[in-house]
Amino acid sequence: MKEMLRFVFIGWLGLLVWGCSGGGENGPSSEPLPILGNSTLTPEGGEIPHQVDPFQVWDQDSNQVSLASFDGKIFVADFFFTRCPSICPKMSEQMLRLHDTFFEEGQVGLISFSIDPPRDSVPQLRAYTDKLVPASKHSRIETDKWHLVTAEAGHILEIAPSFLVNAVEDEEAQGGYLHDGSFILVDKKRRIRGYYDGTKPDNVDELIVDIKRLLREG
Amino acid sequence: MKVNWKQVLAFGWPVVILIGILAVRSISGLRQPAAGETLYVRHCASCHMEDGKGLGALIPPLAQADWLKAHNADIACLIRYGNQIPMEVNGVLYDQEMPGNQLLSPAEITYLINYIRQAWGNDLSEVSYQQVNMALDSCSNSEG
Repeated sequence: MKEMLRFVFIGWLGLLVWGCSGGGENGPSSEPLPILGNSTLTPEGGEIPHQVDPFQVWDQDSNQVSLASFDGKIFVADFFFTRCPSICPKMSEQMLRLHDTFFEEGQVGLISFSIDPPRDSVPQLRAYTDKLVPASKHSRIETDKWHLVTAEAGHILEIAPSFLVNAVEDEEAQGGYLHDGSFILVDKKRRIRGYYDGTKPDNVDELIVDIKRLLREG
Repeated sequence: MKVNWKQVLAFGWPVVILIGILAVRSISGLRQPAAGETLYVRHCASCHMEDGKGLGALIPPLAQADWLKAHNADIACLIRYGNQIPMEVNGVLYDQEMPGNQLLSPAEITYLINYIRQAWGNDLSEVSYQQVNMALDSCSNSEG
């Protein structure tokens, strides 16, 4: 009888400890990050992974920016507009955090696409960037590190779906655009490797960990 | 049938502990944040942030803001109608438009103002519902 009771006791205790430790949860792993998006199947039976669309945009210093600007780099993209009263301040705050965290890391770039080119001209983006500087740990926002970009009307809304985000004009939405706060992690082959809520600091904590993992991939 | 309580306890003690943990968690979950805080998180925090620090020179802070010390119930006008003219807070000029909020009632605006005036180390006096109503009357005349 005593043996049985001891067995039961240990059994339950074991269960409790395992349960409290989050039972079976994976810790940070050395597995590669997934590739997101629908891949295309070829007639030969191969698979072409999803890639983000090419783009031609201008940044806050009037530099022309395209995928070539990120050659040899991984980058994080988001979609915002300067007059956005809802989620954009938090997104910009977190993008600034990424700018500061990876300031010295040459292989990491950032790009914030404006979905309101009619009002977000290059000077408007320049003014917006300047106003963020006081919140940065550095005395400037390095344009080459973080491009805030605008384009011909419609171009950015066209490429947004390839980044797996929603961004559409909507009269009834706050500011006139409906969009989500996603941060998209893109690797050197232009594949999407991660998707994070840029309005939540703990999501961006994970993104920072994943950027480091992706850098180790080479 | 005679129940062997020793056996019941031997088998069932983790269940008792589990019930205890769940009870404590549900009781602490019943604590509701004050109305002012809830309103702030819902209507203001996306720009002014949960810690009231704002964002660079884009969005002014509310924490330790000199502008708040210089105003009281008339803050209600800012909340309801927003702000379209540049204003200086703690020596920084802010010229980004602040959207208003026409849907908040005078009572809600009162809760909001008093939350802001007491949060983040702000140690400012409370305003009354009557004062807020009077302020809203005066600015509604000019805003139409």
